[in-house]
Order: sequence, then C-alpha cells, then structure tokens
Amino acid sequence: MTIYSFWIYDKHCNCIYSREYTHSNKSAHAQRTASVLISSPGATVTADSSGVEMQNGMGAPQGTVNKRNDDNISKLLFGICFSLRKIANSITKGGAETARDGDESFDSNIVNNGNRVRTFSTLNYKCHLYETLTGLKMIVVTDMQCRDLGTELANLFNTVYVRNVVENCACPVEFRPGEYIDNTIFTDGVDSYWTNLVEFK
Amino acid sequence: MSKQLKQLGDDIWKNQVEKINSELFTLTYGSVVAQLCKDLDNNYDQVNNELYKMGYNIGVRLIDEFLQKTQLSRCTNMHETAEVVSKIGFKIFLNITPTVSHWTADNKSFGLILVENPLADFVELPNTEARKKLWYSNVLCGVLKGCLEMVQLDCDVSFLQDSLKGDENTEIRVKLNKILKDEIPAGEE
Amino acid sequence: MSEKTKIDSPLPSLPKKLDSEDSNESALKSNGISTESNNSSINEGRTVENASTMSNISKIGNVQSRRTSSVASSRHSSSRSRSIVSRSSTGRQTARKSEIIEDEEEIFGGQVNACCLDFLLNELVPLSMRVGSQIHKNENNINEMMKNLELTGRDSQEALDLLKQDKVFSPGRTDYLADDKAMTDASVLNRIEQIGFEVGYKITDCIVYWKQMSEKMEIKLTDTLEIMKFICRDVWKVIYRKQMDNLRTNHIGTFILIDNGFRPLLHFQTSGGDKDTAKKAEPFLRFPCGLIRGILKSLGIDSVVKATVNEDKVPSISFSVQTNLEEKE
Repeated sequence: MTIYSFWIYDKHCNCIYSREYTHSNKSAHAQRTASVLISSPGATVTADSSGVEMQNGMGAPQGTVNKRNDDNISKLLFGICFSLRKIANSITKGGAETARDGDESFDSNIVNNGNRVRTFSTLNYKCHLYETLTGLKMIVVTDMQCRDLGTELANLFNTVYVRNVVENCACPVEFRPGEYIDNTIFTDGVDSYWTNLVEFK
Repeated sequence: MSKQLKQLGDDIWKNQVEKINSELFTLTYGSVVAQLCKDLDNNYDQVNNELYKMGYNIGVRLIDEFLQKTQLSRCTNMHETAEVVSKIGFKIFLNITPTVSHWTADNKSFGLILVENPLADFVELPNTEARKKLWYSNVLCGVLKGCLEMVQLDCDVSFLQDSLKGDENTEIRVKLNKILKDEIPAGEE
Repeated sequence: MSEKTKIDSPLPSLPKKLDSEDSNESALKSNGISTESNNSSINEGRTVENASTMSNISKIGNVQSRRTSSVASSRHSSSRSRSIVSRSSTGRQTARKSEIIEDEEEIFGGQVNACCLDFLLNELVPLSMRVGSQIHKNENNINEMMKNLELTGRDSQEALDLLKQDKVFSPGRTDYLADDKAMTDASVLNRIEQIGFEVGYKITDCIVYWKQMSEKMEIKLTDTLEIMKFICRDVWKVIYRKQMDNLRTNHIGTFILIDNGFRPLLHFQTSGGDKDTAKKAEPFLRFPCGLIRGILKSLGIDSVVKATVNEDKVPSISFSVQTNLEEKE
C-alpha cells in the first residue's frame, strides 16, 4: 500500500501545504498522481499491490514540498472535494431540516454539519478527506488497497498541525494566497507521521 | 444533552488538561492590565480595546486546541453553542462553568454569568475612572469572538456588567449576527 | 472525585503544617533574609526587612510607587496567605476535616489550563508592539485621540467597526514578526520585560509559600546561589512546568542558567531557518528576563539579566544573570 500525496487547504480555499511522495523505483506513479483525477491510467497497477518497496535511504522521503499548491491538480482536487461535500449535504438536507423545526437551527446547507464525505476512489487511487470545524481540509491520496485513513488525518491534525502551526506563534493560522506552511518542524512532522504508518511503504 | 456536555467537560478537565496554579495566571494577567493602563495613560477605552484584540488573537488559535481536546461535531443551534461554550469551553480552559441565561426571544443572544472569574480573583479596581470605564476581563470577549468566528459564527461579544465595577453580576453577552458561509473557490458558481 | 485529590501531593493534617510553616518563617528571618514578612511589608516594610542584607535599596521606592499606582492591583497573595494562617490558627482546635480541605484549596488556589498562560505570554510581544504604535499615535495626533474617545463611548457595534478598520490588527497573522523596527525597539522590549518583572516581584512569596506547604520543606533563600537554584527548580517548574537544565556560576556574582527546551518556544519556528528563528525569538525572551530580575529584586538583589539563544537553536536558551552590580561600580 502506498501514500502518494498529501494536501491541506484553508477555509479560504487556498492550498497551504502540498506534499508529494516519490516512491523509489516507482517514479512513474508520482508523475501520474497529477492526472489521477482526470483520467485513470491503468498501466502501472501491477507493481504496487505487493507493498514490498521500502524507503531505503534514511532522512526525508523523496518528493516535493509545496511545489504544486497552485497548479491545476491542486485546484481540481479541492474542487471535487468541495462539490462532493455539497452533494453529501444536499442528500441529507430534507432530514436535517425537519429534525429541529422552530428552533432556529443552523442551516445545514451553509455550514458543514450534516453529511460527510470520507473517501472516494478512482480506478487506481483513493482520496481520503478530513475537514475540521474551522474549515481546514486535509486530503491524502493513496492506492486502492489502503484502508480508510480518516482517523489518521484527524490524528495528524490533532498532533502535528496543532503543535507546529497553532502552537507555533511564529506561524500564521490565517494564510494569504501564495502563503504556505513551510517551517521544517511541521514538514518533518508530517513526513514522519506518514512514513511511520504501514500504509506508506 | 446538557448533562452529557457537563460530563464531557469535567472528564477533559480531569484527564487531558495540563494545569497550572490559577493565582499565577491571575497575577500575570493583572500585571498585563496594569502595564497597559500605565502605558496608555489610563485611557481605558484603549485599554479595553487592546485587551479585546489580545483575546481575539488568542481565540483564533485557541479554537483548534478546543477542537483537538473535545473532538466535538458542529452545534446545531445557538442554544447548543451556548452550552458548549459554558460547560466545555470555559470548563476546560478556566475550570469554571458560567451560567447561560437571559436569552432573547429570537434565540440569537444570550448571557454568560460568571460566578467565579479566575482573571479577576482578588482584584480590586480603584475607585476612579477605572471603575467606570475599564472592562478588566475584556480579553475573554475577544477570545470568544475569535473562537466563534472561526467556526463560522459571527457574533458580537461584550461585557454587560462586571462585579469588579460594583455590578450585581459579571455577565458577558453573546449575540449572533450571522452564520458565515463557506467560502467558494475562485471560478465556482 | 473528592476535593482532596485535586492537590498534587497529599498533605499531613493542616495544623501541623502551619506550625512548621511558622517556624520556617522565623528561621528565615533570623537568617537575615525575609522571604516574606507580614502584611505591612507589602507597602512599606520590605525595605526595612531587607536592609541588613543589601546595601543598595534606593530603587525599591520606584518599584513601590509603581506598584501602588498601578490600577489593577491584585491583592498581594501573601497577605491572603497570612490571613488564612491566622484564621486557621485561631480555629485550630475545632477545625473539622471539611474545613481543612477547604483551607487547602484556599492555600493552593484553583487551577486553570496551562495553555491559557502560554497563550497569554505569547501575546505579550504583539501586544507590546501595538501599544507602542498606539502611544505614538496618541502623542502625535491629538485629534485622532479625541475621535477615539468619542467613538468608544458609543455602543459595541461602532467600537467593533473601529476595530475592523485597524489595519495593524489582523488576528491569526504573524506579520508583526517581520517588523524589524518594532521588534528591536527598546521601549517595546522594555514593556514586555516590565510585565515579567512585575510578575516575578510578586510571585516569589507565592511560590515559596506553595512549596513550603506542599513539600513540607524548609526553603532557605539565604545566599544568591540558593536563590538561583530556587529559580531554576521551583520558579521554572511553576511557570514553565519544567526545570532549567543547567546552572553555572563564576562564584563572583555571575550566573548562567540554561534551559535546553524553553517551553514557550518549544514549537516556535519561522520558515527562515535557525538564525532567523533565533532572531525572531528574542522579544519572547524578555518576559523571562524580567521575571528573573523581578524575583531577585523581591529578595533584595539587583541584577542585570540577558537571554541568548544557544547556537541559534531555539528552544535552547541561556540566561546570564549578573548580580554583583555594586561591587563593579
């Protein structure tokens, strides 16, 4: 099982962190993540279900950090998650409204309280989503065999993000367009979080 | 519902919170306020303003700490929000549970009565202009404002009365202006 | 959960405690250094108490006048402690268990979440910078000040609008760290240090008192080295929930206190690398500098305290404390 890329968007819909993992011997995969959501290439599936490739070199895993925040794939990824969430909310809208009538309920169509999208898949890839109540969205792209990583995303928020962004008073929590989370305690923290999961290998 | 929240707040306070002596906190906050009054030449409007801003800054970060500790899902209405603020928010940070009261008819505005206030323990305001104009614990309003805004609730938060000023109670008013909509990515709709 | 479990270390019965505390106090007094004496010392007694051990007391007057003029004068905790002592001493024979527990709570006070203090301390830097620019505005633009005064008298909505117009203020941002001028402005930094000093000056008695009550230990703050150890161990523990890692001295009044994991900067990192992080961290070190200076002052020692980031590696901090000031002159 493999983790290909990880993305964080703030509530202003900007990508504030992007991380792509290049897995040795399989650089073809990394290139392909870019097109994963648009087309679903099926050519390279054979190699990765074995899960034997290990990260041999110590230190930071290969790949790019904050290089793709504003490119097309980032925007499409956000767009599809945004739309999926909207669909999920609309599906349950009827039920949510009748549940609390005359109680000045918050409109479930405006705030994201109702239904939730956890994962969605294409032919070869699986995207796992997690959103906090403060509007932070985290997405991790893995292979198909991967279990639901929703809990892991929540964990990552609760540990790495809260500690190194929220509690780091040198790091903003409100980002301007083009501003990324780029302090190394955070980026290292994210890397070690993912690489320590069995799914990463 | 409210009983469950109380239980949750108590549990988090008991098991998940690193605690410090509140007197140390009171003393530190008191020194900050005193320094502000001195620097701003006892212009209490400006002091109130600075305390509020300081709280606002804290609030936008504190909310994530709150969510991390509580793992709560979104409130469905303002009544629930009020209960969460009181029984969990105030509980796990300041170890107090203000009473929620004085709802307006439209269910959009409520009061939080602070029977205890760790910020103002053993504080006496001198009987000068300070007692009339200074909202000593105004940082709390800023914190609430910042926190609520981060979860898409645009509220006005201010002190209505303060026992430091000789008022009967210490009461913070929270009034919901509007629910902030999700921002839409550029190019959509 | 019983009330008792809230207290960290179990206490023997209170009356005994109070006795030992009383005798500690007299022991300290006979040693010539007063950790705290009585209510009157808060306002005027301290100079007399300490006169025998210190030659330079001229500056205390300033401190006192500042303290008495401060608007928000927290009632001094030691006066509270004393009153508890005397109250429970009189009722000692009849004190029932429930009353004792109540007293214990009173002695140690309540508790709050430690992150409240962390957040508050972190906000001191941007606060001080905003105040600096506010003062500047006040001085240079009386008209504007008048306008502010008029405006804030009205309801909260207008005050809020005023707040939103304020461009310097943007919650969740860290732009102030890029303001090199304000970050190195002496008055901005001194303001932060002053708050630390006030806290240090007032907290000494509390910490001594808590420690004596909870650990049933006699605290001797008879020489400067003992006081430094007290700061490294007890003060740091109370405020930063850890001890200093190292204490060095040249035995002629200079001390180096090293904290390899200074709590407020544990997760502090800018995106500009170690050097940049160390530079941006400097204003955050002014509070502990003031704190140490305040504690020393409350025990009758004048000092100069400086903090540096060790080898540009936040959060490793060294505090250099110079206490032999008058000898030098």
